[in-house]
Amino acid sequence: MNSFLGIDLGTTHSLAAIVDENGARVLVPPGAESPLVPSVVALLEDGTILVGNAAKNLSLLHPERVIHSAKRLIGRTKAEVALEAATLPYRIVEGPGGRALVRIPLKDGAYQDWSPEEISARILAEVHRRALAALQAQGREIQDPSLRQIVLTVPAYFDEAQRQATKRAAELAQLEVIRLINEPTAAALAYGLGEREQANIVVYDLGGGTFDVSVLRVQEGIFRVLSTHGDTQLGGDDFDRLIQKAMLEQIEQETGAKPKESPQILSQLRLAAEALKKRLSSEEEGGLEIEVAEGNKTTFHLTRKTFEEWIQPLVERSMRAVRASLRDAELLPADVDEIILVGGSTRVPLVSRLLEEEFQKPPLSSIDPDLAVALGAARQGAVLAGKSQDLLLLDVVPLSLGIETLGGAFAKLILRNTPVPCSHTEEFSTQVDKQTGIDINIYQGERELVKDCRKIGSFKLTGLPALPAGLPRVAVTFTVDEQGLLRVTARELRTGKTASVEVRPSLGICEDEVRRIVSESIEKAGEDMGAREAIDLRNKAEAVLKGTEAALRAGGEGLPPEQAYSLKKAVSRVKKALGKKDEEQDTLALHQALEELSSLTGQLADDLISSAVSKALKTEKNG
Amino acid sequence: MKHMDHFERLGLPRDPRPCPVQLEKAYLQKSRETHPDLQRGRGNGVDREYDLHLEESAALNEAYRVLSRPWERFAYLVELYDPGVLERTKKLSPEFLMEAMEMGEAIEEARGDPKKERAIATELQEKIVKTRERIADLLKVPNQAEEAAILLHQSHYLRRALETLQRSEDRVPL
Repeated sequence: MNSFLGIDLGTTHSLAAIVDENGARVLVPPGAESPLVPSVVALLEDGTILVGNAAKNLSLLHPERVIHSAKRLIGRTKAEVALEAATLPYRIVEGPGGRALVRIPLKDGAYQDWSPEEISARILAEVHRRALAALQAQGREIQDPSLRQIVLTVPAYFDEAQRQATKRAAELAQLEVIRLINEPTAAALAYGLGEREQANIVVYDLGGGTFDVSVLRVQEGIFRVLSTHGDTQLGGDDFDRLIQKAMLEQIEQETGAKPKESPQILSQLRLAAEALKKRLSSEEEGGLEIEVAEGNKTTFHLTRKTFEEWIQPLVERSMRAVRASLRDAELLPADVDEIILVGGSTRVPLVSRLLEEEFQKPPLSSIDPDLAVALGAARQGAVLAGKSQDLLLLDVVPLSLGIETLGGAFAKLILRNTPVPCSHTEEFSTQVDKQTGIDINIYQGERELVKDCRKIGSFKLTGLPALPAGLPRVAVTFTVDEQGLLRVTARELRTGKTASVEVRPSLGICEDEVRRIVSESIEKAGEDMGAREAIDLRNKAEAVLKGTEAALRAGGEGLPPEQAYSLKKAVSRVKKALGKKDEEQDTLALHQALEELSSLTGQLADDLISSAVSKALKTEKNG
Repeated sequence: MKHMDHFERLGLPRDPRPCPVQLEKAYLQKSRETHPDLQRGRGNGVDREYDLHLEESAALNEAYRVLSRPWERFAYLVELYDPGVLERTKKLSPEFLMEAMEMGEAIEEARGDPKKERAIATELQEKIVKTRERIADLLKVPNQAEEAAILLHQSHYLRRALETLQRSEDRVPL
């Protein structure tokens, strides 16, 4: 058996690597110059599909049918990608559940809608084909089924929906994902700092479309992620866009042309901007000639200084995430031993300069920042294939995970930066009598109300015994596995019945960018908490009321009269507090009334409820 | 999965003040033994008991999380020694409530005066540290869980008060 292939599915380009006798290496097929495959797919009018360089080369000619940056769309809704959609030369439409789809024209007004998963699948298939060709040229047996099993990388900050969608893309390419691994973590593995006794590492990963930062501690071969932060909508593409925007303005001013309406010119400008950005990484200034129309030319000129002024706010945004990540890891800049640069966009000199200022030491860049992620994935592939046992990776949950409770509050069950695997068990009950199912919505995010978070799925607990409200007790266990993927299991505690759970992935309604989720949760923490606490309290009161009333109905006859009287009095006090208007008064009074009721029911409730359950079950059987 | 308490899972004695280096070492050692990645590697790509290893690994992470944070460790330890003790001791004593009320008033009064706020914060911090040390001392033996639990409830109040104070002092999250 071979080691599993490691594949880096990037926003701008993708590649594969493997670990063998000669160590970790990227795979280049015979005749190819580079291991990098542009993450670009084209669908021609006659139905021909092109992938990689062949597709990229057509982007000037047929911008509306050459699809790049699919990674920015994957696992997201059309509404969520509105911002980038405006600058993309191809068309984005809304699919089922609001999902973003790409609409590509065919002959005679016909068209095809492609999901980002399908587009990514074609890229993965091409990368895989090339990897096998490279191995074959080296005399390897490529029929080995283990070569269809891969370690695939995702941005650390990808949420559940984006991870699942990426995994689906691999399935569509008929590849089995043995393990999803976070990109910055993979890069740390590539640097092989595992021999050190102990080191703190910051991985700064600025790709074409996503930004991640992870803080890791390496101890005797164990790579433990302490914290991670990021922005799934920040990358080198944004630098290009700023240059492109300036070009557009100049063209409009000088020639009066309206190039925004022409996908061809937009596409040409995008490539020109990218080329100019690359040039400014090694030169102080650069210029190029743009042909707007036949004979209508203009020269665009840009200095590195001006360019850096434009991108400064974007790079600063990433530096804020770096600082936040350090804070979460409880480290100071001086505690950091190494800074690793990953992603092509880290070639922009301003990035390493700001990092060096922050940490007072130059970042490492001995491994090509375009290759580090795939090389690290291949190392993990070797560990999983049993070829090496000296490395272990312990990663974390990037965004808090939880459920919607009554009133739209977000109950976080698993907090961000919790090491994976992890699990949390929560008990649920019913709201109305004889209810046999419960709907549960799962969200991810950092805010206090679900409307500000991202819905990642929902499920229904079914087959509950038909009991009075509040009596069934369902223990639902949420587990995040070592790849950062969620699974849910459930059990009804009183009857021992296992309820069936199937999480329906959903593409969220929330339009917040992931970047904003965290920063806003900091800014609005105070404002959210008040509203949140009030909602929680009301929910709790209503649940306790329902439970007590059910218990009283079911087994209240058996109670000593004094007890029954004080219980009823406490119940009515809670009801009164629930009915009050004035918010301040309400919360306090409700708090007190609820405390009183809870203290009265405390010991009693369980016996009563248990007997009520057995009674109810009997009636159910008889009836 | 075999049921184990957090200390057993990490192979450590029930120590209210475990050495952080040892705790971390034990965690990493046990991670090597349970993590699904290495189990899968040992089986050449297949982890036949994946669910079990996932569960054990999650339990280990939880054990380390709880034991590496002093307050969570105390809360866990008192329940381990005396199940239900936290619920039983929930009611704060009138003396403490009085003290808490005075503290609350002092905080209200100090609001907007950084100097006063800082003085109260320092006082609170000292109280919290003292309570923490006292709890740790109590928990060296199993039969003082109740007293520890009472102090734990009080510390909860003190820490919350300190948090609100710091939140008003500067908006930068810690």
